[in-house]
Amino acid sequence: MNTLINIVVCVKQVSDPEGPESLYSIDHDTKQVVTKGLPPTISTFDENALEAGLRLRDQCSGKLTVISAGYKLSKSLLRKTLAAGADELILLDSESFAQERLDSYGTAWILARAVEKIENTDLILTGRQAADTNAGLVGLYLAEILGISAVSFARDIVVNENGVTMKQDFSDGYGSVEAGFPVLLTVGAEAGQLRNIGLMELRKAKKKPLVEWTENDLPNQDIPEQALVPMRLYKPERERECDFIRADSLKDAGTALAQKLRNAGLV
Amino acid sequence: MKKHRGVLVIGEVNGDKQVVPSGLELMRLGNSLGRKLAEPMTCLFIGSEITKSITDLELTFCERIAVIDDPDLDDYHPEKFLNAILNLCRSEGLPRLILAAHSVMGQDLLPRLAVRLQTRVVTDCVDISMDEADGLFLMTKPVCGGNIMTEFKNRRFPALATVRPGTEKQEAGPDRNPAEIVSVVLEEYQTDERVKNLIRVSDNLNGVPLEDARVVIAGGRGIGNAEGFEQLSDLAKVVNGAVGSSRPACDLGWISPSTQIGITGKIVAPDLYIAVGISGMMQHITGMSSSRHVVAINKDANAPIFKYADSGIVGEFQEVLPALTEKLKEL
Repeated sequence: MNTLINIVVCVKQVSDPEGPESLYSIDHDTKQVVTKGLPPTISTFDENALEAGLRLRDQCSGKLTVISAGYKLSKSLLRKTLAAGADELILLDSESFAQERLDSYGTAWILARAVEKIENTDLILTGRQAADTNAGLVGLYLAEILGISAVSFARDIVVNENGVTMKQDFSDGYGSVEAGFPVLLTVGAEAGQLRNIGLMELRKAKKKPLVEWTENDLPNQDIPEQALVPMRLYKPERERECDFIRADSLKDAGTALAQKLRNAGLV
Repeated sequence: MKKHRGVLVIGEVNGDKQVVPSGLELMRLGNSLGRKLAEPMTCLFIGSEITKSITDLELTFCERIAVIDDPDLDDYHPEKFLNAILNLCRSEGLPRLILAAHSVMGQDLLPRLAVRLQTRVVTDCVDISMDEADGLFLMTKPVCGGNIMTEFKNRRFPALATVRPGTEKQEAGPDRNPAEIVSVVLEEYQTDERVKNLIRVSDNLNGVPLEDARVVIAGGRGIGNAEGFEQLSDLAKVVNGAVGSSRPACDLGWISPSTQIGITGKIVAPDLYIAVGISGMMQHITGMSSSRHVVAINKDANAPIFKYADSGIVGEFQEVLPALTEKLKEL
């Protein structure tokens, strides 16, 4: 396929989302979640977005740029995206981009300015939901701010001359959808697991371009104020008292459970 | 532009042109919020050939239902549906609060609507209230995989939220007459058709849809392989339940991602939830923690799932499930 497409993948650095529950605590003054002892990782669905982007870039040549916004970002972590195969990494790193200062719209706004500066982007890929905020907003907000089409829950993406075809998952099935460039797609795990990264790729990654921008590099510095403000954080109480069914054998336990559920009117 | 007033609930119809149950629940929530605000509530349905099934429901917990019924609106299409809603808002005035279910449609539509209306949306909302002091809406949602709950204040109007099922706990209000059904005809509008729906394929699901099932049997990494899920299906058949899963089982390709229960999948609140070979990561727990009774079966006695269960069996599921199924057949 001779189509040359320019792809931008948006990637977020988050604290490892799969840590034990005890490592998530609350700073009630700043109204932020505190995660001590959890290493930084790339938000899970953003890795899938990167994989989807790499597959498309491999299919049809072109350039894949990764962008990531935040404050005090980990270069070693985000260089993984270059090692996976991205052609360029742009870090939007500034105190003005710190998560505490922004809502999802503000984040999307900053990414939009970066995409405008990059120019000529055909396809933008994002994870459909960040592993820390679980908001699922930045991708669609970004498309709206840029005034481009967007399809969420996308998978099995194929590039044609003027756009992409893909499947979109719904709760009761899927649709086949066609979208012209420029378009933004949000993806989940179904878009593909990120390829393995070897030592050689990690070494090569150090030679690939890593660019750093602050708000001064953006075409517009009027970052929107937070309109969605955290007021109160708390830990939900979900624990229950477990009645362990013990019996001579697991088979007997299964039988006893059946009786218990029937007696309780649950089946 | 008129002042923001009232609650707008965006309902949803499925492929069979039936109102989805979570939509009904959402209408009750919208209704109770409307009563608290002493402002009108309108429920909006968008689709094609849906007027009859909505009228037939004779819904009484909602005063007014607006129906936009047009052959062009047969399948969900973001631009077309957005235009329909913006049209309605232009002719009737902007509401103070707009709600949709936390479905794929809700998650896709409301963020776009938020930008068009220059406001913000809170997704996967479990609680909505109003701050008496400033009249702004407070919305609570799970974050960090469900380990923490955050209550947000939206400084803008209208406030938007996608609401998870099981949020409206109160019962229906006093009996009233069936809702007034208003057919809304849209003015001519330009729709951007750069995105085209080609075909729509329905899951060939046997049995009860997951979100509606009163009994859910879910399997996780502990199931071991795709064939292991057969024992869960056998049990589901006997109790008229549905089979669900946790993310690892889906990522490993053992079962369809449409069965995934968790913060990034489906949220369920059945009477009985049986978690088989599921470790109990918070991302999964947050998808089923409103279940009435939870049973956990796991060979690891220290698996976190037991902290969130009412009944538990420590052991290999292959030795427990067949006996459970057999006995239930008998009883």
